[in-house]
Amino acid sequence: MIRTLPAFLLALALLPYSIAHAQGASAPAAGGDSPAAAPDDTPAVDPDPPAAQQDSTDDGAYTRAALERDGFVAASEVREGDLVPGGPLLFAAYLVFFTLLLLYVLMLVRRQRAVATDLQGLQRRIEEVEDRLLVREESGG
Amino acid sequence: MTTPALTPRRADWLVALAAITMLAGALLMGLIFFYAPTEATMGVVQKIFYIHVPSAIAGYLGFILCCAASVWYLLRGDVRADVVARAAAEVGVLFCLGVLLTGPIWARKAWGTWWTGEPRLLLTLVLLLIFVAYILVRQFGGRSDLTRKICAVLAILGVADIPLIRYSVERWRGSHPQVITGEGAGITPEMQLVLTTSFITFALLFVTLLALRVRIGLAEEQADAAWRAVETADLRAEDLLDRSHP
Amino acid sequence: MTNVTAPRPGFWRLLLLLLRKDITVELRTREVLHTAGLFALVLMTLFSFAGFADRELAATTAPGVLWVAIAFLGALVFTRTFQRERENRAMDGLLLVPGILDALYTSKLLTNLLLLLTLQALLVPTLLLVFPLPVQPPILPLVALLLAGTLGLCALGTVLSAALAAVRMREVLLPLLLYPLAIPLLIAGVKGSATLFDPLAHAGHGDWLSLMIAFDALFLVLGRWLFGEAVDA
Repeated sequence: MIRTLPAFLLALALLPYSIAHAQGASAPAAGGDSPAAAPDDTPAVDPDPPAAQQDSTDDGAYTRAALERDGFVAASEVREGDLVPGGPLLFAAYLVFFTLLLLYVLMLVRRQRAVATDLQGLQRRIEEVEDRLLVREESGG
Repeated sequence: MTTPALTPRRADWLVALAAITMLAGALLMGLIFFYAPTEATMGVVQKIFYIHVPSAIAGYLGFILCCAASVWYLLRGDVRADVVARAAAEVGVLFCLGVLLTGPIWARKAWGTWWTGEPRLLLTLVLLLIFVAYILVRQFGGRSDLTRKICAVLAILGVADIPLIRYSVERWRGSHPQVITGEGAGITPEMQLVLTTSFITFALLFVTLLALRVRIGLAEEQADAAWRAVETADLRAEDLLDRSHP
Repeated sequence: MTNVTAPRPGFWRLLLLLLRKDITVELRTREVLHTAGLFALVLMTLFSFAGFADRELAATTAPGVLWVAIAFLGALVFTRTFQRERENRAMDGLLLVPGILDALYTSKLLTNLLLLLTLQALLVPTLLLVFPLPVQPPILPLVALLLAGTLGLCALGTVLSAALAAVRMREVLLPLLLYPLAIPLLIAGVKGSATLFDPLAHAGHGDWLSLMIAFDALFLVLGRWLFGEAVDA
């Protein structure tokens, strides 16, 4: 079970990547990345577009428009005062978070394996001790 | 005469828990990126908030749990409490790292700088340093009773220090800027829904990681105890046999 | 204590004996005082070369330099606190004495405090000599800050050194743990003495002093409890 976790985390980490990259200011939207992450997550995701669209600000509309379209995003669509591009930062934050999680889970996997190996050694040792005791008992008794 | 194979038992509840956590994680990601409205001034970067704040709470929770388990260990000498303390410290450090790495990214957008002396950031940094040192002591000390006691001492000292560190870094900054005021006030119902989902998901994630780590820790302890038992049994048996057949 | 039926030695008697032992050993060897004293001088020289002792900067850097130096000296002193007891397992013998924990903790705390205060008697005048401060700091508040800060540092350092005495890499681990834990003290020390060194800084070392005293109280109580646990292991 623990072994499926890393793959899952990787898939989750790809989702913000595709979105953040698509939102990168005046950068070409990476349409190719979205399908890679989408199949894994779409079943669980229910965007509920009507509610979101009604409430969204201009920026939200921009975001949504940029998301739904393939190809380039015009610089004029970038909000004024948006000097620090948000997309790459958002992507970086989620990437960092998922990488940390992934690394920790990998560490747990490694520890789990180490315990399993230790248990195998222990079993061999138990059998060895048992055999020796049996031999002694037979020869002695 | 054969002994039953020593393989770790499957924990079905843990599988279920991990599966639920995964589903909640996928749902959360969907909510954050497709449902949560984009904030007016911060833009998309505001969405860091949904993992930053719950991580911070999970991190502190880990450290406080570590301290509580350490007190329990010192009072009762229960090795299981020590295993929990160790797991909680590790998970706490993980979330704390998450906070400290996503925090500067938020700060870059919000305040135009990667790092500020914001009191909460500083407190989290100091706690991270303390508990990373704790993990180092664990590594160098191995699984001995001495290490357990030392680490319990360290965890208690570290958590007892939290209010003092908090107060001193706030005073150090002079008038402390409470910059992140996104909590509570000025949060739309949609954001609130996503944030609540996020808290639940992080609680699940915390419990899952903790349970996985505790399970491994307990297995390690049991394996250690079994090794000791086997070796003592071997020595004693040999001793007895030698005495009966000089 | 040669007679088995002798009455239990009281706290004060044990404390006096232990203190006398530690101080005699230190006075005979001067192990800590000579090395750490020289280290303090080296530090001051280093900081003056690093440009911290410039005339314009002195008032703002001196408090930081002072407390960083105290923290360094503290780590130097604390790593040796239980070295002698761990060698030849003298600690096991000591722990056989009934009711020794209180006296042992207090004696080690006082020894550390004495050593650090002696070192500061060398450090502070050197600092004032090297750093051209605009005003002469008032003696009493400065001494109060140093005393309260050093007491807290020793309360923490004593329990940490007891805990780490048998751990590999303790020389590295002790500062790694000591400094983050002592951050409230260091901040209070730096900010408190800054108000004394700089005429322009608003007065208010009293707040910092009370923070230090709170730290001292907390870590003396916790230290005594956890010392028992750490030594007992």
